[in-house]
Amino acid sequence: MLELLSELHRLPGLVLVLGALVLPLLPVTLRRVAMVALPILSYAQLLSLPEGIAFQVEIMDGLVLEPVRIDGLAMVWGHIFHIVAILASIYSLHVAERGVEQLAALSYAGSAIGAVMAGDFITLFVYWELTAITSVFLIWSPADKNLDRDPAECLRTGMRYLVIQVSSGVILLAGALAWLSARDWDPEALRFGHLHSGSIFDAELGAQLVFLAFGIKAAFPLLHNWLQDAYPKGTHTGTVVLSAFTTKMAIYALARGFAGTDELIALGVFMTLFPIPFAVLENDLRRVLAYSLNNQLGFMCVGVGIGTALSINGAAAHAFAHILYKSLLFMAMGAVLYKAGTCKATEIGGLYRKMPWTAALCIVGSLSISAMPLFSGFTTKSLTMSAAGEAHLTWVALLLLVASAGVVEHSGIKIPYSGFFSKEEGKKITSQDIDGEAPLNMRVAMGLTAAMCIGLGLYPAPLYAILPTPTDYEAYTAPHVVGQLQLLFFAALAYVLLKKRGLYPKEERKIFLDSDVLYRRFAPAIARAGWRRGLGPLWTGTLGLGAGLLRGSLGTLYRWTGPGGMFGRSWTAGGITRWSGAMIGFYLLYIFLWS
Amino acid sequence: MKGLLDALKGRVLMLLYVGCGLSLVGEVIFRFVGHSYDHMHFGYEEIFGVHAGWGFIAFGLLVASAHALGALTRRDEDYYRVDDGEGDDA
Repeated sequence: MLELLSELHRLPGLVLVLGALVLPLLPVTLRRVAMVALPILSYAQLLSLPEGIAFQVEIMDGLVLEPVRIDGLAMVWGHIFHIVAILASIYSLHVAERGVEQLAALSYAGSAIGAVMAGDFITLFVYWELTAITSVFLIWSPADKNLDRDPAECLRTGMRYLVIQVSSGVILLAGALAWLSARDWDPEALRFGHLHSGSIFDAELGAQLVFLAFGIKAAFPLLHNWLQDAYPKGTHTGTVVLSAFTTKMAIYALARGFAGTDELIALGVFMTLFPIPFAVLENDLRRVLAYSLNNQLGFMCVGVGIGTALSINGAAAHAFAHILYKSLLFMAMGAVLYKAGTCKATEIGGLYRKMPWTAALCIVGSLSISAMPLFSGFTTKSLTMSAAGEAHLTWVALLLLVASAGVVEHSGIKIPYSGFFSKEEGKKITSQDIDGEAPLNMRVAMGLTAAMCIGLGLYPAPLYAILPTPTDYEAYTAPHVVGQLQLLFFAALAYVLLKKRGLYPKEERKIFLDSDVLYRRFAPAIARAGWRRGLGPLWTGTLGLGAGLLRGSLGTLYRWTGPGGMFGRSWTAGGITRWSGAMIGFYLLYIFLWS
Repeated sequence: MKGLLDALKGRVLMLLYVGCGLSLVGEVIFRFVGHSYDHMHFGYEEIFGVHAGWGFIAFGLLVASAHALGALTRRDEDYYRVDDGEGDDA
């Protein structure tokens, strides 16, 4: 363990985790400097580390940890996690209150960075759980009480989020132990590497459990709803941070452990499709983005599932670009929430008049996520589509095109339109009700993020160069550009026609039940009914029987030893002598007969 | 910036129609002039305007599915708070 202490300076992300602890103690100006300086320092430290296993630590007899592994796959996430940590810090500089939020944001970022650099299961588990524990404070944070955030509701949501996230870690640990046990606790098996390819149903128990743990954080279908439940409850700056790390860390873990796992293709395709109708209907624009996030994770899962060098590159590149444009969209909606007090589509209208820069930067995010040529989504999503083509997965490609049309709907049109350009009539908050643009630091952060979205679209070569398998992939071919433009323009045309004919669903002050209804309503209802009709009466009966027995025993005891009882009343000296003699005689007889 | 957005807002439909037209013209050019079939991976890509048609139909299908989903799952905003004292979000 002393070895670990001497190597602490080589742990990526630790600068953020430890540095964050100091933040609440600093005066506001110094705190602001530290918030940006810490992720920059952490990034410099990561870049200074050589490729390979940085060091090893023996924790038990023969059991060796490899807390830092630097390679091509991990570094893609290492780069982008640091970049987004810097951007998110700039975005939240206007928050002057000394709160838990800044501490949580940076330590969460540091934990996620540590997780993607982890070379063994134990280190991965520690950071995996640390991301859960640190990030929940971005939901629990008492800040933004005036911004459509009910603290009591946030507390309950955070609790649900924490239970699910920590459960993922527990399952990961169980899987890792099962994996080790199946290999007679061979220390080599502790290394976190490729675990399985092919059908997950053919995998051993340990690999299946680890897959499930990763799937929870990657928001697999039916395991996904923690995301839409929790992310819209974060603070206006916190949700930007939340959107960047946990799910992409899980995609990294899947790419590391389960590249080429068949079920990931079908799961990924389903993930790209099922959130879209929810996003069409949803009123809370941050929840729309949470569904959109789920949809984008699906593309990455497909890339991991195909399992070729091109498709893994596709998943990694998509994760990189996605973190940027999704952060940008969450930043824009955070700015709306900050200025208007809500980002529900039914409540806001015409905000672009007072927030034109935020609106324009939001459009950049929308064009990027829609994979419009010249924007980052186009140059990154293309790799996965090409990988599906090379693998001759026609049905996958066709369904991903459907999902791409859906992205146009929810993130390409709905977010900028409902957030900034919808009509002011009948809306509670219009441009008249807000006092101007988002704070400068928020616009700077959005501007930098937007510049990167455009930069990666115009010139993706630097990103392609850092992919796990460096590639000179050519995204800008005539069929590809034209095909993508047709898809986007005609999907938008369908939107216009449906809207004009009144066939497009209107936003309503409603919620739409998702899988969380299973554990928020159905499971408690079943438990209550079970209690009333089965367990409750049984429990009451058992308690009644126990109480009856106790009452009877105490009554008997009282009758014998109470004031009128045989052992309670005063005895004469002769009586005591007789009873003592009888007892001694009985005892002697016992010894005589049985000794 | 506001002026630019105002101008864009006023012309967005026209830009969309022009974009739809140009994307089809672009396909005519690369198919019959440029002969750029090298990067096609799927058989369906040989159908003229397949992405346009598929994008249009897919969008319609997604909106139709949203209507169906809404009919099944639409609830009041306080759905999780109605059972005060009992429900999960009570």
